[in-house]
Amino acid sequence: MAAADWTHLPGDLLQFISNKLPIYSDYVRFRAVCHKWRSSLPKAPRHLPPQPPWLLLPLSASSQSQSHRAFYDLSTGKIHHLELPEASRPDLRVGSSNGWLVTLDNSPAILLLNPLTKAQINLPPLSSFPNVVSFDNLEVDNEYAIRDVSGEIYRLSLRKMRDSFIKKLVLPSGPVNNDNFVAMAILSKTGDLAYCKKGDQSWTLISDVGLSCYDLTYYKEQFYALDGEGAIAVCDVNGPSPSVSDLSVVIPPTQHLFAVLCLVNLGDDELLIVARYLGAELEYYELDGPEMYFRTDGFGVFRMNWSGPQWEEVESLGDWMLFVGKNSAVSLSAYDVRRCLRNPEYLNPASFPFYGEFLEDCIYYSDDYREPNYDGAYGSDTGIYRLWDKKTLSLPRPCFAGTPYSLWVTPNPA
Amino acid sequence: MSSTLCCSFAKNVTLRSSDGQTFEVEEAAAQVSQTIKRMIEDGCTGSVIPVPNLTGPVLALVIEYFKKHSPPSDGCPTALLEMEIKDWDAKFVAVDNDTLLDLTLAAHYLEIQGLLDLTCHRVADILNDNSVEKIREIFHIKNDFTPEEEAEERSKIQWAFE
Repeated sequence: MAAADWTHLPGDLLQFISNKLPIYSDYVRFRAVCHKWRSSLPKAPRHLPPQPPWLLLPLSASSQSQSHRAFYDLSTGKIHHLELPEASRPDLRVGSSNGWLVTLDNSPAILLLNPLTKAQINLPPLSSFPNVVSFDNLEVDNEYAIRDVSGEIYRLSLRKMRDSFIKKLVLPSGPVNNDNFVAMAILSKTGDLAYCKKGDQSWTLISDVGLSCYDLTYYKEQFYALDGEGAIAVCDVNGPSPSVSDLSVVIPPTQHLFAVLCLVNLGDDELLIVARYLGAELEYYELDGPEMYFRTDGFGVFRMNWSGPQWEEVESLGDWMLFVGKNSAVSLSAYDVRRCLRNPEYLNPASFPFYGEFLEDCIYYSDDYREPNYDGAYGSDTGIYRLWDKKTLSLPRPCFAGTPYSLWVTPNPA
Repeated sequence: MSSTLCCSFAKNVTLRSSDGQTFEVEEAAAQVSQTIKRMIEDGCTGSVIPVPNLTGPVLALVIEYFKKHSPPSDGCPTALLEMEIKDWDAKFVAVDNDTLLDLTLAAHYLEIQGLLDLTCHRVADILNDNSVEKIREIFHIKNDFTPEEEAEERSKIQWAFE
């Protein structure tokens, strides 16, 4: 009998098999076997469960070449080197949202870049924010003129503008492409919100937000902003003009002195505040004497009870896992993550952080909150925190030399 | 015990493979296949049911699957039975790749969802752990990309091949 011909599998069977490949890289290899298989399977798979996030490592971690960025895949323990010349220059500030990188350089340009598909979207430039009065390349080190709340003009250099004008940029969940996108940003100094949509030449400030925004997320088709006390602003930018409603709620007091607050969408079902408590520590270096730095020493999680409305502290996240950082905060069900693990029972916690015991009810945290306002921070501050028993595990770091911070990027092939 | 007892009362059907082999099987067991179930409902039971896409050896294997997965006559399957079936399934599908392909196509044609899940899962397991070159070797697939096509595709997503 002749050898069986696997290339003759009908298209719907190939699709059915691909549905059993939960990891994007396996899907990519499946499509690369032969013409028949490739033409039967869409380039952007629609069946994938949410992919476990990768950590974007600093530029110095990329050993391959100057046009690559290194991503640490926690589900396999592998480091992926992706060719991304646009995100590999040393003069960049890089953020991330919904699997896209947001890059800012020493120009007004704001670029969105999908590291998997290499798709790019140019957002309206920094000089197009309504409070930016002028931009002049010839005014060296004072290129931008900006109007503050009281109407006074102050100036920022290219570098300062790049590093400190935008606090965070958020994209909605779901597909993002050149034909249809919206982006929302928090401005660092004032906590104002601004947004842009496809076709816009400039950013639009949302004037009637009654709070100074501290964090931002996308939840149930709306943008939700949080201030430092727990108040919420819900922004609907789906219509021709934005509408805002404020909720004056307050997060319950704790005895912690320093906390970084993060607003998290839990599976589009619950809205959470994750409070990351920081302890100040002194580190002694031979030459410089003691240096103070912050280190995470616990978390508190609060869920929005809409009938209050009020924030209520929760003891456990159940099946959920959270990945938090300043740039992006993602929730995944441990069930979905387990599907992406190979032989989870054999994983060694020393090399694979996705160890069976540290999936459910765990908060994985990166240290990008230090950037850029925590210049000179020593050591790293990444780890895993299990909420119910407050147990902490350090996140294995694949590289050590000069690692100021790393940020979460959720692979998003759509 | 109960299954042998009920056999004497059960209605049988005859299935005929592409190469003319015939197999007698309980009607209830054969109805694990949605395709055969429809044929029975359409009144094909009196005569022999043709299964022209399957050779005798493959149909024999499929009938083994039918027998293991026919609904128990005495109500709900127990957890123990389910575990036993799971073990049996794992052994059943641990076959060479030619047979795996035959079973996959048979499950597809006969609409046997459980078997299709089983075989596709096994294929996915093979795909998961191997390089593209190894996958081609395992499934006897000729690389029909030109070197240029292959290089171009890889250059875009080299990381996924490492």
